[in-house]
Amino acid sequence: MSVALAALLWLLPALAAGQEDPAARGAQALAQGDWATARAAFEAAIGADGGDVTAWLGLSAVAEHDGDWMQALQAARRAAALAPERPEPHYALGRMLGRAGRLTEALAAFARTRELAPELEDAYLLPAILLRDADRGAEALALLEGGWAKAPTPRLGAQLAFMALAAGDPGRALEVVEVALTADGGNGDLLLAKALALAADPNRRAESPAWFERALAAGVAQEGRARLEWARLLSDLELWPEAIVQLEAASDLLPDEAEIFFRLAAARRQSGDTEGARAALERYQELNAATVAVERRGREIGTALNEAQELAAASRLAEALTRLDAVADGDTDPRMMVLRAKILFSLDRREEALAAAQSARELAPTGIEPTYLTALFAFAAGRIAESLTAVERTLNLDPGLAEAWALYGSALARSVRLEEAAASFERALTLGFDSPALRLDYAGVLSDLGRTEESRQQLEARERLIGG
Amino acid sequence: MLAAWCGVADGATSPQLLVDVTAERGVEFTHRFFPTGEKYMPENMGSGVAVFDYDGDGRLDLYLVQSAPVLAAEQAPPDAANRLYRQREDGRFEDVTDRAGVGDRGVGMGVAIGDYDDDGAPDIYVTNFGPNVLYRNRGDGSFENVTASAGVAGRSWSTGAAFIDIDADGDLDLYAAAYLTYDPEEDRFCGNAQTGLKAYCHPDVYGGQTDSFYLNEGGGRFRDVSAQIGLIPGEDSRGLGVAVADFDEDGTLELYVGNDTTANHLYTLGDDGRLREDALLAGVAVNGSGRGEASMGISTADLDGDGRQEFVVTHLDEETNTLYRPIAPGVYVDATEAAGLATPSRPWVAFGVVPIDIELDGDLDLLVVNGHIIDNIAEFDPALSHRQPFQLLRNDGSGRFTEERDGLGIPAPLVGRGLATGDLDRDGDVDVVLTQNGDAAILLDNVSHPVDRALTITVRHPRPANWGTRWRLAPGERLQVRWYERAPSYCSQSAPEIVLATGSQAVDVLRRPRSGPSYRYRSLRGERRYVFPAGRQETGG
Repeated sequence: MSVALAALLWLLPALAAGQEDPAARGAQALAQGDWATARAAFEAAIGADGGDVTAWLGLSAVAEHDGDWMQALQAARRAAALAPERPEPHYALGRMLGRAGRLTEALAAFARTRELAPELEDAYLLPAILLRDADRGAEALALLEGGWAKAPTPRLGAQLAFMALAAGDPGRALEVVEVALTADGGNGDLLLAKALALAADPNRRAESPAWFERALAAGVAQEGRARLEWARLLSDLELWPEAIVQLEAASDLLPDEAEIFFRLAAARRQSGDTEGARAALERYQELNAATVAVERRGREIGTALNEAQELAAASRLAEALTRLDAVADGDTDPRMMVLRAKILFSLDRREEALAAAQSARELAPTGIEPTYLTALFAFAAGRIAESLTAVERTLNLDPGLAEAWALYGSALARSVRLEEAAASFERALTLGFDSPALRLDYAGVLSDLGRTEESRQQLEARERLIGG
Repeated sequence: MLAAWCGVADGATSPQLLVDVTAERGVEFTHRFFPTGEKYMPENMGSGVAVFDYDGDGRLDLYLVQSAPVLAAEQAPPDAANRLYRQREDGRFEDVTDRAGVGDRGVGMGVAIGDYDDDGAPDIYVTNFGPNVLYRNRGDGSFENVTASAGVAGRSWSTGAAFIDIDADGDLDLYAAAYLTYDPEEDRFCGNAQTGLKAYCHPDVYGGQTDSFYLNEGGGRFRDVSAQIGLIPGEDSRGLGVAVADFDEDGTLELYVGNDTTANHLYTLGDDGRLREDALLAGVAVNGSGRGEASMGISTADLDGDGRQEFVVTHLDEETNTLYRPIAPGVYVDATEAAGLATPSRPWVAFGVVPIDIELDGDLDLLVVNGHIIDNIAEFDPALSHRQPFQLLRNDGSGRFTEERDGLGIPAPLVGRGLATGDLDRDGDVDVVLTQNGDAAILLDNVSHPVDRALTITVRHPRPANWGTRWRLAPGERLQVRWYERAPSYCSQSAPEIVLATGSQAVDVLRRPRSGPSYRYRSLRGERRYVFPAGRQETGG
């Protein structure tokens, strides 16, 4: 079951109340995996009542499933704004922000969820995974410990145990697992965590294989990984034929995992199967070479970005561009394209800058910077409609981006949507962005609206900024 | 306050194992890395140390490698040079560098010791960023720089090196690992360009270099056979650590070369006179997960007391210091987790590593010196530090280790690089010398035990045939096997001494050369030093 679906099913008791309710129909369709019907139902519900929090949440889940992160985030944000005292919208928002890589905001949304629903296990699990993936393992572990104290569920227990193992504390992992197993003795992930914890204890390693066996029989979330872990233990115990069985099974499940083939080669070699070992080694080398190539490319791009930025900062723009050009297939990396767009813009090559920003946005649809730059450069190129679309996308991604509100104001003004433009400028100022250009545009809009005194105040503010 | 000073915490006494005797023994060597802020790669890599008896007086001396400005080594101040410290009769060291003529002023990396001209006096090979240097020991307390005539200047950046009689012709050949193809004039920007914060680059940013292999031609000359002998070419080699041992137990010596991030190499000389690289099939090219690691320091020893050699390779943080255990001749498995080495090593950037029976209880412990390679790492991640702890991994006798940091004579963290051992004060136990990048070298006296528990064997005039000789207590005693070889650690060399923990009783000792008959030495006693060969009766058996 996907996380999105699991999250939405959490809402079902409330939704089941009225089958005539389009939002409830949407939820039912969602539960049946009928995403198209669900979308239609949620959109109908929103059309009938734009304040229907459940429908916005449902739409967010459907959009997430469809890969439309922008819509998913926007819908979650709308739900959270409509029902700030309900935990579900904050939870959905946290999940979508996490997907968009906006860790700080995601963590804040999950923290709010926990305030409102302290016993909701996913409000601990998901942010812990985000923290773990951001190399903040200690914080992830602390968060799960907090969750475990409030809601000692099997899922939380399994995740806590895995993270304790990763932190090198098999004792704590075992402690947690033993408690959690009393609630759900057939939970495969818990059984796996117990097997791993025992494997990490030199005095109890021999007990571990039996627990691996039980875990796999019960079913685990990542069977290939579990078999690889089991094989690691069996290799350590020099039980080569048994290790081969697990590795061969793992290789079917994870055919691109280099480590499996490396270990398979070692195990076959120990069992006297030299030819089999060589074949596995060949596969390992092939996969490893691909992994190494990806890592090297990442570092190559990182270095090129650093060096180009340094050159650009020294106003050596042409050299900066040449440095970026030196990276083969650099146009497949959004960070490269963003920097390229900025440099081109600084070189007054505006159309090329806009094209580069658009490419970056296509490569990273939820990236704020490429989306904002697309809006900015489209505006500079006089493509106001295009700029408006892009800046609206930007603000959906980050409503707190003050510069985007300023740009939005200018684009709206050019579209003669004066009231909206004035509100946007005001929003930018409230959020802390200020510039002579903003004040001038704002003054113009206010003047066109007949708000002469306010217009004069903006011009005075502009003078102060210039003078200052 | 007093309790803290004495190393006593919470009422428990932490036994003192090592004591810092640097000042009282007269060693005043501070490594200088001449930081420019440009983060030139060679700045952070040095340097090593060798423990050896250069003048044959029976007392161990020290050779410490210094650095120099990367862009202009010749601009190093006069006092920035490699240093030779001779041990006097009173145990203090005196700086005899100028008298001996061994004060190379290159951007120093490592040192290897070997008697390449077989005149009984150990010679010194220094690796540099820049030309390497071979100093021939004249045997009168002085050396001559014979690099040009010997033809062993190496690549543009050499690191670990080792003498090895690879072709078994009775003289020592020379291997020098090469690290990166690096030109400081074309230094790359790594770090955070937006903040201008620069850092030393990942080695992948630069290409590798093919290592150097020199065959000893006799007459003081070497022949560079690097291009013909079968070395793995440059791009896949970023050599750091080099170790020599009989890894496949066939009676000949092999070369193991640790490469930074890429697969390590295990070279065996084939019948056709070419090297065969077999690390992957031997299970020692990468770690047990199939990943290449940083591979700075290497040490070989029987760590689990089964009479076979394991070896440990040190790596970066987030990697483990990897222990390879033989499960058949020439076949190894990664036994890091089982040995308990994974958890203590993951947080640290490890360089030097040496096996040492620190308390003479018959099993070999490990000392590891750590220090991050990025001096401003805390500015990138406040959780990380440039200075890192000195670690003892204590062996429980079965090859399983637990970490200790107390009682090691160094309360503050270090920027550790080189690490070497030897019985510096001739009291029967093993003492320690370590070097730092940009800080002082430290001498540590082993004070952990009564002095009557060890039997130390020094090999006089170590001919190539002696290398790889296996020494052990005779059957009936606890199995202790030691090999006569020079543990390389990181860019360093330990004294080639055999130390066996005996207790106070007399024991028989067996010596088994790599080929030919074994010998039995009867009724040797602890608290004694033996010199081999020294006229003592050898008994075949």
